[in-house]
Amino acid sequence: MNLHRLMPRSCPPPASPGERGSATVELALILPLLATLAAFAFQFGQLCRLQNALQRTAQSGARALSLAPAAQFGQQLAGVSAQMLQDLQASGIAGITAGNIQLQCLDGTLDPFGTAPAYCLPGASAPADASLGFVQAVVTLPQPSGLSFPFFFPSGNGAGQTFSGPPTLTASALYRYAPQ
Amino acid sequence: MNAQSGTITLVFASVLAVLLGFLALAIDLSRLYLARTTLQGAADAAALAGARELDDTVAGTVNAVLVAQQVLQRYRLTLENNAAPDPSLATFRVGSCPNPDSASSALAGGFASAPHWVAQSPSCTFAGATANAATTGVRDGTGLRFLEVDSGAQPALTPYFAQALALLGAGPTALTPYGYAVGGRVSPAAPLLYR
Repeated sequence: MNLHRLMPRSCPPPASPGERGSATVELALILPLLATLAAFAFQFGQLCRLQNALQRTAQSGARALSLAPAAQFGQQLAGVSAQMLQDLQASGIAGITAGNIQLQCLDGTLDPFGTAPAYCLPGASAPADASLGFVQAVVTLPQPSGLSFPFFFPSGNGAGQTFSGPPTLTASALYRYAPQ
Repeated sequence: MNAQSGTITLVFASVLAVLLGFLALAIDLSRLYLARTTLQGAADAAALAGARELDDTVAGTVNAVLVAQQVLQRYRLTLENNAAPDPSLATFRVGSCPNPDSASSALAGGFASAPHWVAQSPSCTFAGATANAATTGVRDGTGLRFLEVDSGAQPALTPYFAQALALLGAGPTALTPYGYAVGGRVSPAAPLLYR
């Protein structure tokens, strides 16, 4: 009796010894590619999250500084910088330091001063004057650490190329100085 | 056996196309969210900076728009930090609200999410209904003077997802983030209000 004739048509015929495990092998070949794609998407999302945290912090820092009373500008400068660092650390950004945060004073034409005015130094007691037009907060995160899949950003030389590692993330925000 | 060989390859090719589409979508949405955050911040800063120039003169109105444009251009929208908002796509409208109490309270409290909040305040008028009201100015000297910054749709992003979908003959043509903000003051010397 031919058993094949009794089987439903949709049922595949039994695999021959040569076919057994082929699906598993193909899956094993394909799986690394799928995992790489998923890891890349995750890694990109992680970078975007970092950039978003930097941008939001720069925004809130510049806004806070733009409202600082003229007489306390220097003190507020130091305070805003410390608050920004605290916010960034609370966001889980590894390796961020005060050196990554820059608060700049710009004149009325949006250009930086050649020499920073006396009031534009952290902790300065000199009051801000009419020369202060805008304040800018810049946060830079060179080669962020703590990435889940850092192998997407190799560093060093190889294959005739120079790889520079993870990208440097920079966020800035600019506000008109308008003490309340 | 010959009939089955390559079946998984075909299935995988189909699935891979879908997976790549989702990957592109994930990347595009991340970039869009980032650009949206930055553009909203840029609109906020531009509205506040420009509103400070409003002093009931034509020159003040011109300056308000110019300053807002300058500030807008200082922002960078993408992770690569290479695309600034295009001010020619943005709309800067200057106007006034004769009834300062309701207008300023509306600004301070903030409307939910309706763009062009002035449309909800019948007493408020624009100096010009289209982009760049600088030539007419706001000189009535009463109520709230305000500057509205609408970044417009800024096509700063390369839509990977759209490109992926284009292979299938469908999909969006662009991802366009935008930002919107209003800044104003009840008198030239009064504190800035903003939403």
